[in-house]
Amino acid sequence: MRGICFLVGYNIPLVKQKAAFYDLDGTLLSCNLVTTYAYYARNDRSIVKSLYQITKVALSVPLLFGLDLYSRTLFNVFFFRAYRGMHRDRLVGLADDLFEVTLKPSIYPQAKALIECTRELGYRNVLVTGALDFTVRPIAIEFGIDDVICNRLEFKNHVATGGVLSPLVAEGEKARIIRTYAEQEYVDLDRSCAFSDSTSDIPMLAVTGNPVATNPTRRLRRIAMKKNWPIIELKESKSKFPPFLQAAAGVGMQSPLLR
Amino acid sequence: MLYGNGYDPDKASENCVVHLDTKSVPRVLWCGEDLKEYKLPIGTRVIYAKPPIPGLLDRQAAIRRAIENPENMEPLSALLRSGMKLTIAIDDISLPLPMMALPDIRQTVLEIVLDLASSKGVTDIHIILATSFHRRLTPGEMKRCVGAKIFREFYPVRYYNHDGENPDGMVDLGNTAQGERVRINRRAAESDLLVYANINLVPMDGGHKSVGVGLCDYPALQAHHTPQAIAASDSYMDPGKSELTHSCGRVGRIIEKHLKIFHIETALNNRMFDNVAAFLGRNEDTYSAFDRTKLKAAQFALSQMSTKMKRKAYFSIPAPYEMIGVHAGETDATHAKILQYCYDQYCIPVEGQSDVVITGITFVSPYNVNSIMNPLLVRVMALGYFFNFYRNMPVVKKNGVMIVTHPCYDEFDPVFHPSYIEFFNRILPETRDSLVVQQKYEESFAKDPAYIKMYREGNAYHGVHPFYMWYWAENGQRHIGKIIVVGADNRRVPAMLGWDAARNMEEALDMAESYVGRKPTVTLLHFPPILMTDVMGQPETIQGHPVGKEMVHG
Repeated sequence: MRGICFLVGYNIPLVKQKAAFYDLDGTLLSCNLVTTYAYYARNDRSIVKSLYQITKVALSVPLLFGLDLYSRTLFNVFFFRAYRGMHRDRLVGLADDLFEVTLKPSIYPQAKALIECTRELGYRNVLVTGALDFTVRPIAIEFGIDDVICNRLEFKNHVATGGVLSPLVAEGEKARIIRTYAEQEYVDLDRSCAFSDSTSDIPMLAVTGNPVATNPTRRLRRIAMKKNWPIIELKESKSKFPPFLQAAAGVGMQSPLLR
Repeated sequence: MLYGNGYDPDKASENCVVHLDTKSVPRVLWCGEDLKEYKLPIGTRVIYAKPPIPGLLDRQAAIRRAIENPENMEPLSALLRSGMKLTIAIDDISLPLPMMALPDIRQTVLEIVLDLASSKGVTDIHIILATSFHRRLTPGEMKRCVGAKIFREFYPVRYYNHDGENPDGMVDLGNTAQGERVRINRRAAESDLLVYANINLVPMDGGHKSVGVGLCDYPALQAHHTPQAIAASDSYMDPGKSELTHSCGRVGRIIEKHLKIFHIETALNNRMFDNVAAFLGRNEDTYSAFDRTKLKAAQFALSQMSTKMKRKAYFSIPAPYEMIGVHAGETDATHAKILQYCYDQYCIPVEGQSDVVITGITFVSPYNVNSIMNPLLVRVMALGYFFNFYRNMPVVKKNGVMIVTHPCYDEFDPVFHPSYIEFFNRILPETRDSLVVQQKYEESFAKDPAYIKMYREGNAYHGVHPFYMWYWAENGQRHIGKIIVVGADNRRVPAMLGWDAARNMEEALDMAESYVGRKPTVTLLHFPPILMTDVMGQPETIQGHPVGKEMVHG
C-alpha cells in the first residue's frame, strides 16, 4: 500500500510526501535480535544442537552486551554469524510462529495506535530495522507497514552462511539508507518523523525534521532532552503522542487515537 | 529416481544387510523406553534402514510447484474462486512418528494453500483433522500441527477434529458394487472443493484412504476395518496386494463422483534421529568410541529415570524429518508418484525367508503419541506394522517364530484408551480369535454410549478402536507360528496375548530352536528407522505346527 501520490510535470510543483520511519526492536516491541534467535535455536531439528546454540548465545551475552555498547554494526555482524548453517526453509517456515508466540505478545501497548496515527495523518510508515527480513514480514503485515528496510542473511544453497547482505542496516547506515529512500520516493525528510529507542539510531532520528525518542534508553533520553526532541513511552498505555502529531491531527484530520 | 547429493536408492541399500560373525558385537534394540544390547547367533542376518534421502532444499517452492502443476487436474489456483466453500483436511498426529521438528509439514502446506485461497477471495474455509476414529487432538497438539497463526485464525470454529459420531455431521454417498457403505463428513461432502494435505510416512498411508477413512464413520469402517480384509492383504504396506487399499479405492471412487478432491501428498525421509543419535540406526560394528560412549551414557541416563519420565522426554524430542517429495492433483496419480518415494526410502532387497525374525518394539506407535504403549499396541506393532513391512513375501517363513523385545507392562491410558482396558481384561480372557471377537463384541463396543461420549467430548479413541488394533495384526497372526517376548516385566500380558515370554534372548532363541526343530535361520529387523524388505525367492513353511493356533486359542 503506497501513500499519497505526487505530481511531476512541466510547471507543476513537485509535492513531496512525508514518512514516519520506525525502528523496531525496543521501539515498537520489547523483543530484540537475541530473543528472535533464541526461538530458532530452541526449535532446531536437533535437540543437542538446540542446547548447544542456546548455551553459546547465553555465554556470549556479556560479549554481545559489550559489542552493542561499542558498535551496533559490529554487534549485528557478530550476532548474525550464529545463524550459520540454518536452513532458509526453517527460518521462513517458523517466522509466523515466532511472531505469534514471541514477537506479538511483546508489542508495546501504544505501538499500533502510534502507527495508525501517523498513517491517518498521511505519513508513509516505513520500518527501518536491523532485524532480519523473514522475521519482519509478519510484523509489517500486523502493523500495516508500507515499506520495510531491514537486514537480509546471505544464503548459499538455501543454507545461511552467517554473513549479511550489504548494506548492513544499523547506525549511520540507517540514515544513509533513509536519505536514498527519500530521494527515490520523493519524501520530504523535513516533514517526516522518526522513532527509535537507542542512541545507535541518533543518525536516523536526526535525518528527519521530527525525531522522537521512543521508550528511550537513559543516554538517548539525556540527548533528546538536550536537543528538545519529544519523548514518548509506548510501554505505557496512557502516553501522549508528540505535539507535532497532535497539532497535525487538529487541522481537520482528527484521530480518535490521539489524546 | 536419483535424489539430491546423488543419492541412489539402489546403491543406498548395499550396506543395509549384514551377517553377523564371530567378531560381531551385540546389537542394540529398543525394548519399550529402553535401549538394550543382545548378543545374537553367528550368521544372523541384520537388516538396517537405508540412510535418509536428502530433503528438498526449498520445500515451500516444491509445494507451490506441485499445486500449480498437478497430476491429471487443473492447478489449485484455477479451482479456487470467490464465494466457494473450501474444506481442507489434514492428517492427525498419528504420523509422523515421532512428531517432526517445527515447522510441521502440514503447517507449510496449509500456509501456502490458505495464502492462495485468500488471494482468490475464498473466505468460507474450514480445516478438519481427519482423525476418523482416532482420538480428538488436544488444542496444544492441534496448534503444533498448523502453527500458532493458523490456529489463532481458525480454531475452534473453523479448525476442528472430525467427529464420526455427529448425528448431523455425516453424509451417505451410497454403496460400492461390493456393498461397502460410503459415508463421509458432511462439511467436506458439501464443499465445492476438498483439499487433502497428507503425510505419507508409510505406503499404507495416503491415496483414497485419506478421505475414505479419515473422514468416515462406523458403517463406512465396517467395510474394510475387518479381520477378513487384513487377512487378505499381503501386505497392507504393498497397496497392489492390499485388500484394505482395494476397498478404500472403491470407496474413494464413489466419493469422487460426488465431490471434487485435490490431493496434496508429501513424502518424508526416514531421518528419525538427529546427528547425535543417528548411530542408533547404524551397524553396531561400525560404532566409533564416541558412539559407544553416547550409548552407555544414554543407557545410564535411562536407567535412572522412571518410565513416565522417559516417555515425557521421548515425546518432547521431535524428529528432524525432511520432505523428500510432494505431488498434488488427482488421488490415484498423485499417490502413485508419492509411493515411489516411500519405496525408494524404505525398501531393501533381501534373499529368502528365515525361520525366526527378531525386532525391538519402541515406546511409540501411531496410536499412543503422548501416551502409553499399551499391550494391544505392542501387539499391533509386532504382528501388524513390523510384520507387514514387506513386499513380495514376509521375511519370516510361514509358521515361523517372531521374537520381540518389550516390557509388555500392564498399563493403559484411561483418558486416551478407555475401551482398550475393557477389551484387554474382558474379551481376551475369553477369546483371541478375531472372528469371534468381531461377531460377538464389536458392535456393542462401537455403540456403547459412554465410549461414544468419551470419543466425542474427551480425547478417547473410539470404543471400537481396540478391535481394529486386534484385526490389524490378523495377517501376522495367521502367518507367525509362535511369538516370544524378551524383556517382559510380567507373565500376565504375554499370556493374555497368547505369547511366550523368555527371560533373555538366549532363552528365546532356544525356545525358537525347539519350535522349529533345528538350528534356525535368524533375521533381525533393526527398527527404527523404518525399513521394508523386498524378499526374493520362494515362500517357505515350517512344518509340524498348526499355524497361529496357540496364539489364537491358548
